[in-house]
Amino acid sequence: MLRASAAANDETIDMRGVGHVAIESGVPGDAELSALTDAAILRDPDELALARPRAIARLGGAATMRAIAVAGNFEMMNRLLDAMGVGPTASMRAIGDLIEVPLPARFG
Amino acid sequence: MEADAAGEIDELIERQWERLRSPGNRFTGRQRVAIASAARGSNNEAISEALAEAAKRVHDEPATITLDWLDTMRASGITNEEYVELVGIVAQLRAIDTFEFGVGRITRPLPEPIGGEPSGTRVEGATLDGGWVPTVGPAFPMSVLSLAPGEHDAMVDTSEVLYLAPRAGDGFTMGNQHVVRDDLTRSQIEFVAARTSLVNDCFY
Repeated sequence: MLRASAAANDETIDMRGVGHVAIESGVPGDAELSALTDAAILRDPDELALARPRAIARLGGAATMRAIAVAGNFEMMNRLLDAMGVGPTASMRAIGDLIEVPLPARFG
Repeated sequence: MEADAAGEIDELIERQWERLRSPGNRFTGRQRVAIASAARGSNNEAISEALAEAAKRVHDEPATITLDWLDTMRASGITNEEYVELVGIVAQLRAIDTFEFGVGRITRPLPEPIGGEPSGTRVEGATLDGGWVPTVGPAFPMSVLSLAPGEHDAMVDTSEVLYLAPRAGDGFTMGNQHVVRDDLTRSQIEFVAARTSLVNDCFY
């Protein structure tokens, strides 16, 4: 979906930036979004205390709240899919190579 | 705009809490709240040890779930309908808990259950089609909760409010690649989605 949205909006995205915070993805505020997302889903109050004000300063309060809501939604979707045995399709497997994150052995 | 978004999400949480405490397809309100409690790590005698274990596993370590483990759960007496309803409860609880933690709120107390019997709805036409439990049509995000129609409807409600509506068209929909919601562009939205899935080790 990130690739599709970037293509539709004529944006140049380096997908490796999703998995490697040292690589700029081209998505505005990617570093702040990564830190905020990680802190929220890993339940890290110390990191959240740093990440949320930085996200608000970079993206604004409304966008920061929406980013947290999106993370919540995918916490739900990830559990639905993993618990039901719905793995990646063939086209999705190629994305693993793009972002330089190998698929775990459970996917064969 | 921030206040509008918070109000919309708070209304969603109120609807979810009402669903959680009400009878579902296979579980009573008391059992549903007990499943949520077990997912958060508390003991509760309203449900079996197997259901409590399943709730905790789906909540804490979904990426470690295997077909062998699920078969063990089924051998312990959990039916497919019960498992799907449990997964729906836990996954939606996690969405709300993550949002509230992320915005700096304390963990919301679970609601008091209300009485009544489960509906016992039997879903026709569900088969094994790419997943580990029967679905109506191929197993994908919009069909995985086929066996628990109430959970499916709640999942769609959650997606519409927290993310985007799972349909084509203008507005806040998944089909709208140019959508901007609360100043967050579609690429920023999808970046957060991808990052969340990566950290959760979910590769769909």
